[in-house]
Amino acid sequence: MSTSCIIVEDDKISALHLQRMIEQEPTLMLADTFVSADDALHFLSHEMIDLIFLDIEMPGINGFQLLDQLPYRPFVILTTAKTEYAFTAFQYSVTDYLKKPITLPRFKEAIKKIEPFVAKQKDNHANDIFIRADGKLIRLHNSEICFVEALGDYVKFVTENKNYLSLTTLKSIEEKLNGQMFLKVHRSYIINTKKINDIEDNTVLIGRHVIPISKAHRKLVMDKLNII
Amino acid sequence: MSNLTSLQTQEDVPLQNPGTHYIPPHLPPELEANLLTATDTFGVLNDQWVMEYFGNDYSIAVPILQLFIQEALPEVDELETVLLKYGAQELRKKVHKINPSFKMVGQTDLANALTDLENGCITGESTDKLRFKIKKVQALAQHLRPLILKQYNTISKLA
Repeated sequence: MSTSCIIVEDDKISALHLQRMIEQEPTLMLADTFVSADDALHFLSHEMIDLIFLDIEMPGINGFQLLDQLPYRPFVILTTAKTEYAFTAFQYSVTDYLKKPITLPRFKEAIKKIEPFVAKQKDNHANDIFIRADGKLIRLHNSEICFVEALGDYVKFVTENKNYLSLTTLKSIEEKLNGQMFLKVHRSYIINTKKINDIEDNTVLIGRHVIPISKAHRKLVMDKLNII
Repeated sequence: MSNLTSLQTQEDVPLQNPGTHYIPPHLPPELEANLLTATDTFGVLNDQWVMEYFGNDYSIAVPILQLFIQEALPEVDELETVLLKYGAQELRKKVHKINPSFKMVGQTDLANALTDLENGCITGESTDKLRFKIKKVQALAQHLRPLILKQYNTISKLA
């Protein structure tokens, strides 16, 4: 299991140093490096990552202002040349605080510290999915989702209370959903098996929705369901 | 970082004559000349920093030192201009940004002089006093520059 991360650092040398240290860590996967917090914020509004190596003093908005505006809270390791930000860092509940220049042992210590937290979070997230809809990232718990339907370039998430349209593919969603709970019953439908009311011929009833089971998927569906 | 990538892929050139220094082909000519006269009076050729920051991995340390020579070291020459044109607050930001790089490559004397300058900006020292501190940093950098290049010359063979 790898921890995805980004670097937000305006100094090229410090950024390169971090990049090289991250490359040496098999548990870390560097998604990108940003020289400004504004660029990072734009990226983070579209992508989910686990960890940010974040400088504080940068042109434009600073590291703390970036944290204030994040749509979600990944783990944060602050990287700064000054210790004077330590109190504020504590208030932001950052995971660690590395003073630049960062020594290799101190870097490794920070990564070791973060690993169990990331593992636990990933475990919890196995029950969640984040979708991009209505211009933001929305967390849906697996138990909320009744079924997912492909609609052209979009995918519709149907929950008991609301529907969400997201620009993605059913294949991509299929990979992310919990395989124990969700089942593809048609090339355009993935259903939550816990939400099934009844199955009749080649259809599944979920709430008031009638969902077709394709010939190709029928055997798989019957095998997977606990039928007496 | 595209310029960095191109530097990293340059081929090493074997020594022409044993006992002479290999001069990396990408360094500016005026800096190359300094290599031949450098002497290690400050002991900067000590590479303890390679262990401390890079775990003795010269393949990481060398490109960092390259980038330091290209990017951070020339910034020292711009400090006075920043002070006179933009004021002490901007000077503080610039010094704050470059200072860790100096420590990272073992230049603690220069890093300490930069810290002193940054503190001067924070405590509101006069422009004249700040200029004096800048001159001190620049004089030290001028003295150390050939030695840093010499050190690069040495460790680039270990990468």
